[in-house]
Amino acid sequence: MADAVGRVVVTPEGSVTGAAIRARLRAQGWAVEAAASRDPDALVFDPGLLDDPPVVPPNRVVDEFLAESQRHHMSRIVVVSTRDQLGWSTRPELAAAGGALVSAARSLALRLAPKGTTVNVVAAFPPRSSALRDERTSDASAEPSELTPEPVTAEDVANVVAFFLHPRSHYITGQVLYCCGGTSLLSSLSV
Amino acid sequence: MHHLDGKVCVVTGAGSGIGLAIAGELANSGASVVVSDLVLERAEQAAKSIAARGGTAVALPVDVASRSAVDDLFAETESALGPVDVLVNNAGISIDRGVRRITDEEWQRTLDINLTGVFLCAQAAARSMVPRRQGRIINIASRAWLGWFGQLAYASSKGGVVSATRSLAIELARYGVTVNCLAPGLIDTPLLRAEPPEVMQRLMAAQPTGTLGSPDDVAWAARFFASPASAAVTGQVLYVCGGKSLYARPAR
Ligand SMILES: NC(=O)c1ccc[n+]([C@@H]2O[C@H](COP(=O)([O-])OP(=O)(O)OC[C@H]3O[C@@H](n4cnc5c(N)ncnc54)[C@H](O)[C@@H]3O)[C@@H](O)[C@H]2O)c1
Repeated sequence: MADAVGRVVVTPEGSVTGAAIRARLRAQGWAVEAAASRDPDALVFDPGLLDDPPVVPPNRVVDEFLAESQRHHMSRIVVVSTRDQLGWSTRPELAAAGGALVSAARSLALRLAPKGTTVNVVAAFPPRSSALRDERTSDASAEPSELTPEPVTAEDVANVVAFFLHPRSHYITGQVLYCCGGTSLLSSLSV
Repeated sequence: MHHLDGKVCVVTGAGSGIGLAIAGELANSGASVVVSDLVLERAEQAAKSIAARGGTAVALPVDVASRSAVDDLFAETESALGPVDVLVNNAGISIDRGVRRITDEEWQRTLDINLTGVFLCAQAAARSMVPRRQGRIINIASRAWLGWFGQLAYASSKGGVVSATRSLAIELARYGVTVNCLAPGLIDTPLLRAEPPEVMQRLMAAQPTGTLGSPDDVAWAARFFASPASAAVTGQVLYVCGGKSLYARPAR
């Protein structure tokens, strides 16, 4: 199968998933460009909600997302958010930022659907090497870890991003796909 | 992307529409596919066209609502190709009938095929996947599980499929078996094309993308869930619906 080729901006820099996402997209034939790139075909907005501290401050996340996504007509927009938008006892600001991102992405998906732009969200469990994992294991009230045998990795998140970005995913928009090893399943908000 | 070389896949209801596209997609990705359908001739036709493209496919009959037929399907799959690695529960029927008119038989038949069929096939597959610590189960539900006019039985059965997906995922995750669900919206199948023009027009108007999906769009998503790339994704419902799950403008 011939894989997708286009120009994609992955922004901002510095998140725990960023390197894996860039590598995955390059391997698929995407040209991964700097945020200043003038007219990319696709955007991956990864504000680092799986990092401690987040790359973009939680109260700035929606504004930055809207600014990035409205700069130019693109066929694909993917947001990297956190499974913790379902609620997490020690980090309400982070959870709220994730939830707000989902609402913004769904709204944008409705607005841009007639133009052929899809907007989707990957809601991930903090992957291996995220500082947020250590905090969880020391907090007895925190959510359980993955039900799957292996911890979620940045590569797992990158795989979902690549799936949404693919031209064949054109009929999928406004969706939130949890890449979480099953840790969203006991929340009523996840279906 | 998403190669499935050597994987044994069972697709139910693969003689037509979405199941046919999924079987073709998995075969194109290198999998050996059991094409099973209530109507054996359809399955044989599908297997023939996959083989003509250089793929590996075996046609087997099944009524997914029958315990003995499902057990036979998995036994025959194992002897023909080996134990099942990927199960796609696609067989389904839909009936458009308001609450005041639907009969007991229509209600029961819908649940038997759409929901009990998923249980029977998933149970047979799980018994084979768990000891091998690997597997993928993909259930085809429908966006309509959210509820719709005339869809009491169909939506209820598909809601059951969503719920079954989550319980199966929770129970099987530790064994390396993922279970996910696709919820197609308006998909261009012969069934839909049979609708009168004014109904089609209303359906399209309620579609954020203004477009119909194709069986290939669903097959693409099924391929992702069948592949190692989705190992961390389980228990999820992915809508392939052109954004219709974001709202639904009542059309009648
Ligand atoms: N077409 C759509 O727009 C749409 C939308 C949402 C969900 N779906 C779901 O997708 C699945 C496939 O739908 P389709 O549109 O391709 O339908 P289809 O009628 O074209 O194909 C269904 C196939 O299942 C087979 N089948 C029926 N009963 C069976 C049984 N008891 N055992 C084994 N096989 C049986 C039929 O013979 C047929 O070949 C169904 O589960 C349906 O509910 C379809």
